[in-house]
Amino acid sequence: MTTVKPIVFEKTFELPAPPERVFRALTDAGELSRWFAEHADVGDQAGAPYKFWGRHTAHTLSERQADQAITAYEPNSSLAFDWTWGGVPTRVAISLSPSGDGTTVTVHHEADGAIGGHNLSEVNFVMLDFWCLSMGNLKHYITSGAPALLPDHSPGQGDVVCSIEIDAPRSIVWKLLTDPSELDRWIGQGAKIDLRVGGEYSYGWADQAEMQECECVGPRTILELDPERRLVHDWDYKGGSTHRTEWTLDPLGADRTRLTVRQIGAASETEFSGYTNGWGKFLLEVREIAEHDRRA
Amino acid sequence: MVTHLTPSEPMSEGVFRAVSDGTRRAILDGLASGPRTAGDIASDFDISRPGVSKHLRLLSEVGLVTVEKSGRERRYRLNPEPLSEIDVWLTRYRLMWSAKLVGLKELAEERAREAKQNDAKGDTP
Repeated sequence: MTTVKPIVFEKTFELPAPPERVFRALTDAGELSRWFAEHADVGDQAGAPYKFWGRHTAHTLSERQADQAITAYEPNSSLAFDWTWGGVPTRVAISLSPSGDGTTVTVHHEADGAIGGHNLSEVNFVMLDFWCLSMGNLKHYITSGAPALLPDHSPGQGDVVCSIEIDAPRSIVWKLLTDPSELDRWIGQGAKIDLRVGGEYSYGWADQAEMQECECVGPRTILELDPERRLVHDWDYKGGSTHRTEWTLDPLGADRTRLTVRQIGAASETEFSGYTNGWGKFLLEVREIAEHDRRA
Repeated sequence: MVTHLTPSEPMSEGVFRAVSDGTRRAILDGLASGPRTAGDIASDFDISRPGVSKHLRLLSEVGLVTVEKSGRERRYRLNPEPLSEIDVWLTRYRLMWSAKLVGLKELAEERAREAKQNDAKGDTP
């Protein structure tokens, strides 16, 4: 039997608060349930639980799935816990060190397989997104009292919809979506944009040599364009199927914008007369019936 | 150096494509309360028999439907297991977009602060 090498992820984050503040946010159940997870039940020493679960936690929706337990606990300095995530044993180690008035947080996460049934090659990126989201939320919580964005992973939804409030006017947000050098600062790697309907809209991922093996390309073409209000582009796979991504910018006053992205999984939805159930409702209903059958 | 990878399609990409068709969703809905013959389903929605059979063939290819033979009758039964793969795909995208939006927000707010500072400097004689 071959031993599988664990997949290792490590990244540092800078937070604008001293280690004591950060440690408290990481280890108090009340705080965790405000910025990190819907539910939390945590102890304060090795062997104690460090349970977090709910609709904001990918692949750990129910309490039954929350088996996290502390393996190391050093106040204001380090926290480590085991976490069976998406069916796979993982181990997290977080260490804090003072950095001026703030804290450098180092997250080290190892996984023994493909979390949640994702492709093995994606596990590192799942962890990257999870920790960038979590640490971004922690930073926002510390400075403003609320997380920036808590996703809702409840099953049965048809499309992906993510929405966030930004303290910037629409003109600035629009620039970050349509200027290639700005795009490169948060998502692109050599983005190319020809800003017109039918024009090229690329993140530049496919051009990276390392990406030649991968199935995905990202956006290719602009489908709709309403400056500072709406941008729609396609989303391609090498496999050939095409999805759609819709961006909408809503003003919340002169200096504030609500930005929403909607990833539509079924680009060629053919509606059938006499049957008006949308995709999401369909998934929910079929799933409910399946659950009922299982319990019967 | 690759700093990001988008989620690839679910392992069984056919499932996704199968349910992205409204007619096939209607057929699956028709099976939700129990196994039925193709003729039964067709009469439900006013689809032609050959049309239903074509869709049922595709649905059984991706595992969303299984066939039971009872005498001369072929009944189709819904198997919702493959639908859980869609949830995995959706979770992956939701996680990616959530993380990216938080990064975009931080950058936008930095740009907004810079713009305000530049405006303030402009006013200074």
